[in-house]
Amino acid sequence: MDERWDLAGIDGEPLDQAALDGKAVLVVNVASRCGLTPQYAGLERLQARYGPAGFTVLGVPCNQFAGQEPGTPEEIQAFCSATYGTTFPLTEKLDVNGSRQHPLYAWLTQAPDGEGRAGEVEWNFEKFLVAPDGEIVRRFRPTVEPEDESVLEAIETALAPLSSAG
Amino acid sequence: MTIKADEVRVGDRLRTRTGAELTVTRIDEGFMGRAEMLAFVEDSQLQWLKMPALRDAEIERLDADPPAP
Repeated sequence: MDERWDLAGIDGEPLDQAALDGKAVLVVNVASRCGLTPQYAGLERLQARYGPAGFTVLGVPCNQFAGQEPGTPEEIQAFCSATYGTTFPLTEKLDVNGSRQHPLYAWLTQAPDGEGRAGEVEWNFEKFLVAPDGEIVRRFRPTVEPEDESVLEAIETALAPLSSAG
Repeated sequence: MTIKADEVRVGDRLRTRTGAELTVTRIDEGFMGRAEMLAFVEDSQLQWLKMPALRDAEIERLDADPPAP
């Protein structure tokens, strides 16, 4: 398996690859105690709107930003599902920056944002859109809302090959 | 003890509001486009942790400077 996508779910079991393979994936590092957590609601609306067309959000809990994701896997899962009714998959807690950075983020952080800046994830709720063919399409910084027009356009563009093929 | 964020120096050990601790190895000017903020980063073999703060915010520093002789 490509080590970039060799991920465990929040339950510690290997993540079901069928949930990701051949889909447009919006990878988002999340934290339960961040002021941006209301973005969970927008992320879930994206999941509902585009999931049937071959899209998924992939939440990546991360405690590297002011320690705002300190909880256990059970606490993180409960917060997401009870507070925001999330249905998209969550990975186990990962490092997205630094010497223990997961290979997925070693790859993703090579992508520049809209201003041409690549490198470290800046804060919680940074978003990377990966197309069904596995290419990184866009990088959105944390303050870009999930349902911002630029995000919607990028998702729809990424999904277009699937709809024309199907 | 607490100090102003703009008094934090590389090597200071800080505690975040959530209780996480970091030893500052880098201080970034600005945070998410806000020039009035700083971001303290520990980028070490032990951990990578980032803590942003307004420049005039009170920050909890764990290791005080040793007393002058």
